[in-house]
Amino acid sequence: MKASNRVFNFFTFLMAIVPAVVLISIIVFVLYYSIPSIRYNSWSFFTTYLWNPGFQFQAPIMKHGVLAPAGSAFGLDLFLIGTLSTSALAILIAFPVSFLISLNVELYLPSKIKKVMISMIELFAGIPSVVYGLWGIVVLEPLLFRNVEPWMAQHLTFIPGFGGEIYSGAGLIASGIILSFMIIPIVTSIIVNSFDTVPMDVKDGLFSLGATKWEVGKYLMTSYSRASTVGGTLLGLGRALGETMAVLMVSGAVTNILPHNFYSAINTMAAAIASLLDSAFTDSTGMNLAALAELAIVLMLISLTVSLIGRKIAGRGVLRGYESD
Amino acid sequence: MEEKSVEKVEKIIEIEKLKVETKDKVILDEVDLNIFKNSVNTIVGPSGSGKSTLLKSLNRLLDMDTSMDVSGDVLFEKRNIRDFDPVELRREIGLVFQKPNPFPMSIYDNVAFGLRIQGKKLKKEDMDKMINQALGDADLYEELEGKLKQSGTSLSGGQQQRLCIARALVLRPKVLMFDEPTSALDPIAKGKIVDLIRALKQKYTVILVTHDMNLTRRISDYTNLIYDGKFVAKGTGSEFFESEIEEVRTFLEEAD
Amino acid sequence: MRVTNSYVGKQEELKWKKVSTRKIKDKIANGLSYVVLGAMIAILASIFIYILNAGASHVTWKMLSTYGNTSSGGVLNAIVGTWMLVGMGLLFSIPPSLLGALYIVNAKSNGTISMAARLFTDVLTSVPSIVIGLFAYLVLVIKFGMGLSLVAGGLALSVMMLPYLLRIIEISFRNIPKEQIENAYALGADDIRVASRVYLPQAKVGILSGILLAVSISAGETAQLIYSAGFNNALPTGFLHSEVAYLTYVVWTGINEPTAYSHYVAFASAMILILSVTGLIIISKYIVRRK
Repeated sequence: MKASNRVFNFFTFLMAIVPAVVLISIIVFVLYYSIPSIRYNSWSFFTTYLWNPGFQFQAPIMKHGVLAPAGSAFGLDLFLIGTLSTSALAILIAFPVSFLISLNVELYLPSKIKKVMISMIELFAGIPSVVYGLWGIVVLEPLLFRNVEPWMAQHLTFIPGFGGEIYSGAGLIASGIILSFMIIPIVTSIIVNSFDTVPMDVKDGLFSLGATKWEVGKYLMTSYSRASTVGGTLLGLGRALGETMAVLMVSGAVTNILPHNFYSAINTMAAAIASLLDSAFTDSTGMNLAALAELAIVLMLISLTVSLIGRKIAGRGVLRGYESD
Repeated sequence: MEEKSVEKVEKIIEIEKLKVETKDKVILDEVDLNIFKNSVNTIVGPSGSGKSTLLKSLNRLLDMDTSMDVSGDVLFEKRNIRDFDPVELRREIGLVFQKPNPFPMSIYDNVAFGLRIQGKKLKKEDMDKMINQALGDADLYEELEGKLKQSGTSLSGGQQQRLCIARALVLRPKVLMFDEPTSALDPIAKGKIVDLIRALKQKYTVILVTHDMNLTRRISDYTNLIYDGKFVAKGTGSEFFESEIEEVRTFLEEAD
Repeated sequence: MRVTNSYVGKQEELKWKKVSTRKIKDKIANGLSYVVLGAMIAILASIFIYILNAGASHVTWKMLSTYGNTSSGGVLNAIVGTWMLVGMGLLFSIPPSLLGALYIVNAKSNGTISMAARLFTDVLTSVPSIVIGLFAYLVLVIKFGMGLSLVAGGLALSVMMLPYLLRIIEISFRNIPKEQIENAYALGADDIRVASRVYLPQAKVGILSGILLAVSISAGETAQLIYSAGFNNALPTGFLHSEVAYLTYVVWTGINEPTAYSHYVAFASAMILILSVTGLIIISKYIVRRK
């Protein structure tokens, strides 16, 4: 083999391992930067919801061998609650919507316009998240604040957490709705792809036994497409867990106040990193930065695990459309 | 060649001027055909002549395909199939496909599928009995006894095909249609299906689509040759093979 | 062979569910699915109409043609800055994704490494964008001393583009008929020639559409850039240590500022973003379909 070809092959090898190198360096570096926080906060990072940057103008204190601003304390509970609850609400909305859309385009909609409709739904994924945030602030929040939430607070009081004061429209509900828009195209395209992989013979076989379209859809969903649906939903969840800007703009981005009810302002791990990083620069001990790095590590751990499991369950075949189309 | 010899046999399906066309092609061109009760009614013809389309129009599976335009009448037990709900019609007229298509679930669940969606308030032990009977009627019961929890897709090709037959039989259809049921099978499995079809006609009316003339010789009671969307010859088994109609002679020569 | 004549007498009675009840369930599912699909399309349309309308009614020629920030001046610096960052991101992500994909599809490559490369690529797509942003700040901006800059921002974007492009390019390569590749090798071509004469020309439409999609996604990204690109009232003066403006930043900060003008600037930027992003998506679908 010619030398030039060997050099070329070696070069392609180097490039193939770039993603691995990048991923590992992200994990290693962020973990490395979070060491001071891990030492300083220890387990209390997971047991408190208070996030206090400390007093910049007092002398820093020394604890567990690391320097930190006086009075500082960092706990992720508030952000973790926000991340999990917004993502849960997003899935709660996105799953039935995606299922019904998939059912519609596969079984009820005339096949001629199926592609157009799927492309339209996919456009939801193309809207930049700050544009969602903007729309959330100027359209969705006022709508929730003036019309929807007052009605809910009056009529749904029998559900725990649905009574009580209304704040500004920003919070869990707005975040969950916008996140659901972002993940509906992901979940839908995976379910549609998996429906498409069911052999025509099997679909005809189901109909030949006298099944209605709904019975066929329900059956396909619980057999052929079960894995893809679960996997696709998890992938959507992974996306929702890590989403930053839109949630930052419509969650209310609070710190240190736990939500009282479903209308309270909240915050998520991703949004907190984005909003708190600015002020963390001013901390000369670096502890604020380290605490955010630790938050990033936990966020990455959760969202990568969820996405990886989703990918594993869904299998590579049905992810095609979601990734390349 | 008219249907003199068959006048006494009861007709279960009467097809009158059935026309199926797409935008640019006529698939079935105003065909007439009678299907006789408790007999093997065979439809033979070269591929692409409209055989499968005919079957799919009898259980109205063709309705699902919006590109197909269907006109003309089909009477099932003297009643127009358009007056049936497709769901009921497909219960009365079962269809077995060319390629075995068991669902990816256990053998039991495969057969139970039709009962679960269509049957009313079935007790577990009644369901078990019905499933065993259907498996028995499809000549599978002895082979699969005690293995009903196995996946339907794990069976051999011939067993899968008989499972698909059992799946249709459990709904107690009056007519069972087979679309080239043996073409995907090896000779031994094929032989079993042939014996089975012959036995099934005691209780059911069988419509068999095939291009296998050997098979037709062995089990057909009424043979109908379709050519380019039209029936060119109809008759009882022996009449058909002795027919002087040019298309029949050509088809038989080509088939052998 | 005998068929057990079970229908006579001894067979259990089999009653059918009422077809009408089953039909009603089907009708409900049918209706509900149309309602949901219709509602989603209506929401999509309302978001588009709202943003386009708000943008169009506040955008001025002066806004598009001058530099500025969210409280005064225009957004030309942010428009140009966005494309500079995206271009920089492509520069850093196309070579590794193209060559990496060649390694993965090459039958002579080490299978374990190919599989691992694909796995890491998959995982990298799922890293939250703000974590990439934090990493870019800590490592590129501070540790490597790049400062908030075009290069740091471009690298941060490329971390998102790389796995995305690599997957699409890999799929385009795999769609090439195997015989073509085998024939080329049989004629004595080496890997370089097969890459340049078969893989690249055959997959060029797929690659191009993938690049357009990657551009459309990264033009709408924010979280990676906040702490790697910064913001600039004018154009950056160099590749390093000079901050860059971009449109998503203008949308985010503009709408959170109290003045009407900053809202106008945010709406105009959102309009430009949504038009360019959907435009790119449509073009990319079009070229794939035309092929």
